[in-house]
Amino acid sequence: MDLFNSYITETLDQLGTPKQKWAYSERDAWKDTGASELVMMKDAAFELGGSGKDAVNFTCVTDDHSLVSGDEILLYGSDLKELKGDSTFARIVFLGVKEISKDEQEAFNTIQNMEFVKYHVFPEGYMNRVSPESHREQVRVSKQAVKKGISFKSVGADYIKQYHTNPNIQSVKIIFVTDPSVDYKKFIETAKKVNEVTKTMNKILEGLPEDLDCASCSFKPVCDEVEGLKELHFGKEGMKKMGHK
Amino acid sequence: MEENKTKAKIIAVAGKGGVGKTSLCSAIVRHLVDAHPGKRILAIDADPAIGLSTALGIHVEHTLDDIRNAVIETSERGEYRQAIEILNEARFRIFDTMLECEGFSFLAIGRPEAAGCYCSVNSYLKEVISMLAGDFDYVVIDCEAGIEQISRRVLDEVTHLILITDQSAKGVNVCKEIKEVADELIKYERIGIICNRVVDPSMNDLIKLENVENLAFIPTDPLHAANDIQGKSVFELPADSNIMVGVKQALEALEII
Repeated sequence: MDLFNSYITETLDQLGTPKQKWAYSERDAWKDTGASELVMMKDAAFELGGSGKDAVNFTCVTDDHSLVSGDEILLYGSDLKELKGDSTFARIVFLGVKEISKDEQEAFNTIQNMEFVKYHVFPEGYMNRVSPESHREQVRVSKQAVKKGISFKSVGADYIKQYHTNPNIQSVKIIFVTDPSVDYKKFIETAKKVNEVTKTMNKILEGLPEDLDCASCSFKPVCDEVEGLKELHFGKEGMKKMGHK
Repeated sequence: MEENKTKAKIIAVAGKGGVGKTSLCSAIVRHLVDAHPGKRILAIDADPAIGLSTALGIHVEHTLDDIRNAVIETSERGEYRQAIEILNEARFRIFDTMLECEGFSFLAIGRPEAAGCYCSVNSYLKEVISMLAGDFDYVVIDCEAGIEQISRRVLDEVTHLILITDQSAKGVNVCKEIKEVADELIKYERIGIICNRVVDPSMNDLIKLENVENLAFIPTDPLHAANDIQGKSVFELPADSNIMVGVKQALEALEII
């Protein structure tokens, strides 16, 4: 089911070649505290997305293995040990799954459960907080953690380790961006669109009439952009009747 | 909700209105800051009358009620959110609302703009206390006057309940009522009473509640009155003022300092 593939491609095209790229190894994973971590401002070396700087987070799921071929961590911009103060920040995750279920409810639950893993990752000395409302993700990194050598490679490995606790997830591409020259506004737009897809899926699951005239539906712009949503609503047979391939 | 990492001492200060709860609460915060440097201390102004910030010398710009309103606005727009998302949205905003001061952090419940009861903001406060308790070593809550926050189980996780009265039957009766409700609804570890603004020490024997330890009798405090009228914070109050001495005695009795 093609729900997020265009967003994955667009984002990768926008970012180009990463400054650094690491293959995942579980032994690289930074220690996870298993519970939310409070880093006070006075103990923080800096805040990613702090001082009102751009900060964004979104997650896309795909069953197209050419888009997420294996577990890897990509970095665009400075690593944690190189940052001298608050920075712009994006954390983008692409999850490769075996197959997104044809069953609407199952597909929705699977996608939501995978997305929610982000709320259960607590690297030590790395206080992340995510706003589902604004799609911002801000992170206070403690001076202690920087001193101990925390890096995006180790934090990324912790995330991937936690994502793999979900058996549906086969591969994870996690992207960290601190480069201030990147177009974060474009990322925010993508985050909003990804959120719209999930919201629309939920709306479809709540029940839309099968004979609904798309022209009168408020979700038309999203469905026009994401073919998989129409399929979710009308099913493959319905799509054929409507003249779609 | 994650399990608390540390067992925070959660101290609630409750009693009738006008007995000096907020002043004593601010003195508790100062003593904790002095006695436990490096520990994480959170002061919560849960009284819609909003006085603790002034007593601590803080200017508050955002409150819990602002967060609650923002979350309500989202649901009123019909946007679908799962519980985990609502919780994380609140957590995200709380750390922007919380003030980090010298030695302690501060959070105010705020004064809901709409007239009427405070039930909704109180239930929100309960969730917030639960969410933050594991991140701090000490949480001090300046409660709303009366029994509302106790009866609504806002203070479920309180470990130390400090009742404040003056030398009035009404003040003692309110403490008695709070104790009775708390016995049914809160699994507190310690409870005690402080009699504030004592004018006649010979009447102290009349301040008695069954199974409640008398923690301190604090005489009327002219130094505090002078400090207050000059707009100074509790951190500028002389250490030998009656309030500072009495609160120290109470915290020592409760083995908090």
